[in-house]
Amino acid sequence: MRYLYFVIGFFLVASQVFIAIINRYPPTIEQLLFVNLLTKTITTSWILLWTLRLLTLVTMILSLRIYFLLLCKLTKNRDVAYVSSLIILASPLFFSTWYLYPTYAVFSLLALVILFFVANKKGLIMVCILSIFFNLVIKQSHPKFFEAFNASVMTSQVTDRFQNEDSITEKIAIPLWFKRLSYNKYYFSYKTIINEVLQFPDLETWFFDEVHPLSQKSMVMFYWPELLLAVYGGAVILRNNQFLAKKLGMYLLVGFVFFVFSNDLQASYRQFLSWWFLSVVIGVGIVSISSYAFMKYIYSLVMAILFLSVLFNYYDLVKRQDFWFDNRPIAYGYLFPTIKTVNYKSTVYMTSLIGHAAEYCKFYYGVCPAYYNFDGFNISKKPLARNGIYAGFIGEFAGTRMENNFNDSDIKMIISNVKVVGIYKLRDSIAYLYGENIVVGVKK
Amino acid sequence: MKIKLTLGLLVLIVLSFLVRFYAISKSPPSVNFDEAALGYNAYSLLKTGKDEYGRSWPLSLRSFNDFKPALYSYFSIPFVSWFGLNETSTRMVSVISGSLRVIVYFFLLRLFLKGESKKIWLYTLILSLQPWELHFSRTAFESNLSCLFFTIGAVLLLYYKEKKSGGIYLFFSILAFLLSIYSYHSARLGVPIFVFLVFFDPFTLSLKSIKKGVWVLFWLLLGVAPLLYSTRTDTILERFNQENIFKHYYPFASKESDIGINRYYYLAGMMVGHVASYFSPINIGYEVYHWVRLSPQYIPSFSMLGWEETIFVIIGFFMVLRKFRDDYKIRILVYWIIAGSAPSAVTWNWFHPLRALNLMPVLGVFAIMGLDYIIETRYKKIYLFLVLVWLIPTGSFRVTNELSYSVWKNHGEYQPGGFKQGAALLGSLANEAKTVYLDSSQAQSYIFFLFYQSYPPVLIQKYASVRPAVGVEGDLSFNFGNYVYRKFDWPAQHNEENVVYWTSREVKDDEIKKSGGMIFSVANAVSKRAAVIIKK
Repeated sequence: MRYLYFVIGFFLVASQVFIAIINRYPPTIEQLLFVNLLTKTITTSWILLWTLRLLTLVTMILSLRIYFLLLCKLTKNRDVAYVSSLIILASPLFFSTWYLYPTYAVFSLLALVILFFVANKKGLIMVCILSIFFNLVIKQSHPKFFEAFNASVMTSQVTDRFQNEDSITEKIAIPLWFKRLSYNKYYFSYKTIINEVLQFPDLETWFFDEVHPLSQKSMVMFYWPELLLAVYGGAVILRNNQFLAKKLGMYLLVGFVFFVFSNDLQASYRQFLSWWFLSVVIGVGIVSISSYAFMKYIYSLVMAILFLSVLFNYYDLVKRQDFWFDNRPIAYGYLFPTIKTVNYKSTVYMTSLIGHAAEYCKFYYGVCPAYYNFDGFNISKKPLARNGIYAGFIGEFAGTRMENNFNDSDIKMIISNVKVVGIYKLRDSIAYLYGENIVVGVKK
Repeated sequence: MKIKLTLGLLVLIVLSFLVRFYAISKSPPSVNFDEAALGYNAYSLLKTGKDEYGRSWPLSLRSFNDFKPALYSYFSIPFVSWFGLNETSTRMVSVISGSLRVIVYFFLLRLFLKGESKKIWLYTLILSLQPWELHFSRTAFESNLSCLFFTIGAVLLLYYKEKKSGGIYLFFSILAFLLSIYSYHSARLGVPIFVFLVFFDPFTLSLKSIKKGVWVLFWLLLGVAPLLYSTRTDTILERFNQENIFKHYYPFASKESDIGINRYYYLAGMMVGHVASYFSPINIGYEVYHWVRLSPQYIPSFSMLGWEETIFVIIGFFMVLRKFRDDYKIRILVYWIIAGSAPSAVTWNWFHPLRALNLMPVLGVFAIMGLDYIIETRYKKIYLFLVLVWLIPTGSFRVTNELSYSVWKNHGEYQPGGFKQGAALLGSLANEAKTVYLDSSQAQSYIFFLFYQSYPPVLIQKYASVRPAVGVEGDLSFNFGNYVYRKFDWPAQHNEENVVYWTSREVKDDEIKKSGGMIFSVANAVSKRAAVIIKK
């Protein structure tokens, strides 16, 4: 059985590497920080990027190994440990972590090593501190709940409430003393904190990102059929293994600490630490089903459905990488190669709307040429005075539009101002008011 | 003891009623179109014995071609008769439903919690202050009435199972379920599922329980026979046609990755997700989806349960998971949730509180179970102090939020401004004018004019045959009396004489006055201009 797990694991990794090669997704910002340290040419950029990706993959596999050992200690059941590890490995979140976010990979390795080697509460506290450090220092997040400790923000929220209610024509008479029991900065601080807390138990992000009602920008953590396994696994743990239930509860608490200090735009990465431990519940569910002889058909059905889940989701990753991944690298992945095709030596005016243009320039050239200007431009406000190559969003050529509402006449206007070399439509709206189309145009 | 119980129940009812009834005519600031439809049809039934389409004592109200169950309007008739057609009379049934449900909670909690009755009173008070309880009891919602009956039916069924006898419990349970079915669509699926699961519970399945289950289902079927008979198949399914998941999300997989077979995978995921969304704490206590935000269901600052109760619900879920196999009462609660969320599995909204209102009482009970667990294990001696310290500001915030803040937050959109303030004036001007031109951005705006003018139903019923047919969606406005729907265009229309205009568009006052028009500005709930009436 153990060999079967390894075979499945190997195929999962191989599939992910294959997807990564096909997708040719540009580097993320955090990958650039490493690559740009050493790169000198475009070739070395890609070699370095892939080296980093493979190193990150190794890091994640190491993390998985430590995780497996930790689970063996915790559950005293190697099958649960293997299955839970495969659940993590099969997850698109695992793929995106090694493919795009090396810092999370390093964090997971450190956290799991601590949990494995440092016993009980001490280990948990250390991981909490690591989580806080990682989020505040490395990721430079600004947790929303910090607002709760800002007296002036809270006071202004209370004031706004009073003013809003005072603007009602037919006032509702409520004694001021009664309102003041809760309309005060202390209660509003409490409100801010608890509203952050309530976002943590999020079944949609944990299990339903494949069909999320808001199509939120977030990697799939677990496939939706795994929810049913998690419910069953949860019931089994609560009935039969109080020790494991307590331990998992503590680990999820640490996951919660990670969550509240994170402000990552991707909901799944806010749940990154919890992801590891939720898989145990699913693993227990799967192993419990397999342990009953009369449930073997259900077990086979479960395995078949999970296989399809992996298949459909990996296929979707290939077909819609711009749906799942950040569109900013994709924008630069279009702009810089397109600019390179222009046979005209002049200053290149690059958009400044989505940030880090200079870093991407270095990636695509090895050494960023001096003729790049990263101050941005807005032809609608300041008509083109200078000849050059302009690369940016349609709104920077045609003027901003509410709700990104650009049409054919806007494109015609651009064509009358510059010679359009290329237009590309992004899936996401990453530069609000400036449209989803990115344009490379030449003015001579 | 019985006197204490009766007194206590009376105090609870009175307190709940007061919180739900206070300022009911001002908060929410005006009726929404569904409320207006329910109220106007109640008025029409009172005056003529027919609904607005001229159908005699119907079991469903055609209304906006959505065939609302009619029971809410029937119950509203006495209030409309006593108080006239207005917000108060239209909402009274909801107010009373919410108040009575609090009593049912008391008896429900007694089944699950041991301990002093002081604690159960406190828990009942907490349940009565849930944001959804306050909000849905202050607006005319058929689902709120249905939820009351469903809860009564479920609790009586629980008592029947607990006592292992007591046919009287079963009789009234069936009656309550039937009333629930006649009150709202969701119960038509929820009740049979619930009854089936209770009597065909796999852990206690026996020939006796099967026989009983079949018998109960038979009586339910008999009870809904008039409903089935009175409604044509296409109209029964009309609501389902409008709202089903299959129509809205086809082909279920994304365009780029659709390979045919994966459609069923994603469809199954959506259906499971729809049901699971009612167990997702973030939805129960925090997240407000945009389709909820733009609807009468929206509770500013909250989702459905209170914030703290949402955390206790999680503990309650764990307790349920642990006891599911051994405790039949816990299983019945779970079946209640399944039945309550079943309609949502096949409708397109991911989380739609109105359609799943029947399961909200159970979530409340789970929250109380979680809270009780914490109190019993850690804070038994000081729980009263802790709870009051929490409940006082919490109660203050929820009541103020619902009564006052939500008026500001929710004005506009489905609670459009102007109709309440201007309809009476429009009515008096209409009596002297040749034609009244209506131009409103509000869909189905005619219902507000009918409602706020108490327009004679006898006159409206004559238009039944020219109104938009069943199956037509979108704006169903129609011309009636001397009211004509037409887009407002003053430069083209200013020469007409002896006319009145109602428009929600921006107008140039000077231009109108110059051409001899008289302007009356109509403000909304926050004193902003919502519409103008122009007399020429």
